[in-house]
Amino acid sequence: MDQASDVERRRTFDKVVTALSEAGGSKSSGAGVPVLGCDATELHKFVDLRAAAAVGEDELLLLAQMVSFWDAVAMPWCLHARDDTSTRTSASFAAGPATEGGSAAGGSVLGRERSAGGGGGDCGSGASEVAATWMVLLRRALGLRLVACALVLRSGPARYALAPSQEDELVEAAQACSASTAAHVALLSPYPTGEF
Amino acid sequence: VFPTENCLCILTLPLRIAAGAVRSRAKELLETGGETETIAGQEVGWLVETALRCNALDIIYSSALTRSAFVALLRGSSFPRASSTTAKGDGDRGGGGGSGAPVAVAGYAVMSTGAEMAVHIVPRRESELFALAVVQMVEVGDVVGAGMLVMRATQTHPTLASSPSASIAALQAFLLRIQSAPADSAASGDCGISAEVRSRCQEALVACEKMLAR
Repeated sequence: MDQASDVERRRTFDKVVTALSEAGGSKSSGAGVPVLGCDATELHKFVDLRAAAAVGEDELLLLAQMVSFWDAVAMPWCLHARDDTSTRTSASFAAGPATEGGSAAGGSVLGRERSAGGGGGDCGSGASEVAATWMVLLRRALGLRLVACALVLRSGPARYALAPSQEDELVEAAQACSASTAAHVALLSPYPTGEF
Repeated sequence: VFPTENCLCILTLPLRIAAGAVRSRAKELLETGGETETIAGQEVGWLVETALRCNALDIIYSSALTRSAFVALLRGSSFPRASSTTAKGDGDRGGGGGSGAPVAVAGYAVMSTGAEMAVHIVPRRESELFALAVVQMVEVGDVVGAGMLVMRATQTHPTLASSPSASIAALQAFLLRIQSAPADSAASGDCGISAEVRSRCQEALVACEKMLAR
C-alpha cells in the first residue's frame, strides 16, 4: 500500500504549496490554502475557487499534484469537477463527490476523446488541460510509491486519457512498485467490452 | 467444509479473455511476480474487484494472493445482505480525506459502448462481487460451475454440493432471489446489488433457463 510516511507527504505537500504560492496561485484564491488533512468539502471548495480563476498551465499542474497527494479519495472527483468547470468556464459549478459523479465525468475526463486525430494523452489544441497532466501525475505517484493514489487515478479520471504507447510506459513504471500493481494498471487498460 | 480446491478448479475453466494487448499482460505479470509478493489485503481485494468488474475472472487464478482473496470473498456470502452489513461495507470505502485516513477508492470510470461514448462512475461495492462472479460464469456457459460457486458461498454440505442438479437449482434460486428483491431497496443499494448488476443477473437467469431447455 502507500509507503510514504506522513512526514514525507507533508514535505511533498509543502513543496507544492510553496510552488503554488510563488506562481501566485494561493494569494488570489480567496479561501486561502486549506490545511493538510482538512475536510474533503473544504478541499473541493478550494479546487472550485481555483478552477473558476483563469489559471495557467503550470499552476494547473501544481494544483492537480497538490490534490493528488493530499487526498486520494477526493482527488479524482476534484479533478473531474475542475476539468468540467474549466471547459464550461463557469464559476458556479457545485462541488460534491456524491452527486457530481455522473455529470462531471460526462466526457470531460477523456483526453483521448477530445484530442484531435486520436492523439490520446498528447492532448492537442482542443484537448483537456487536465488530461495532459495524467501521465505526469501517474508516473510521479508510482515513483513516490503512492500506489493507492496512482490506482485511484488509473481507475478513475485517467483511465481513458492515455495513448497506447503511454499505457505500455505506465505498466513498465508500475512494475517498479510490484507485479500486482503493474497487473492492476494493465487490467484497467481502456476499451474492454461488456464490463461492470 | 467445502473443499477450496473445488472453487479454484472452477476458475480454471475457460473464461472470457480480457480485451486489449495491455490487459493481456496482467495475467502474465501476476503469474511471474504475483506469487512472491507480500502486499496488503486491501490492495489484493481491490485487484480482485477490478478483475471481476473487468470480466477478467481468469486473472484471479494467476496468483495465490488473488486466489485467496477471491475464496475469502465467497466465504459466508448470502443475498440479500443485512442492511447493517452493507452500510458498514460502504462506509469502509468512502472514508474521508486527509493524510491520516486510510486510502480508499472512489470508483471506476467506465465508458458506455453506445454512440454517445459517455463516461459514468461505478463505485466500488464489495457486496455485488459474488453476484458478478456468478453472472460471468453463466455468461461463458458454465451453469454448473456457477451453481457450485453459489453452493460454495452458501456453505452447502459437500454431499449435496457435488450434485450438478443441485448446483443448477441453487443457481436459479440465487438469481431469482436477486430478481425478486424489492425494487426500492435495490435502487437504494440496501440489498447490496446495483441496478446494472441486477440487470445482468436477470439476463443470466434467462440465459440459464434457455441453456437448460435445450
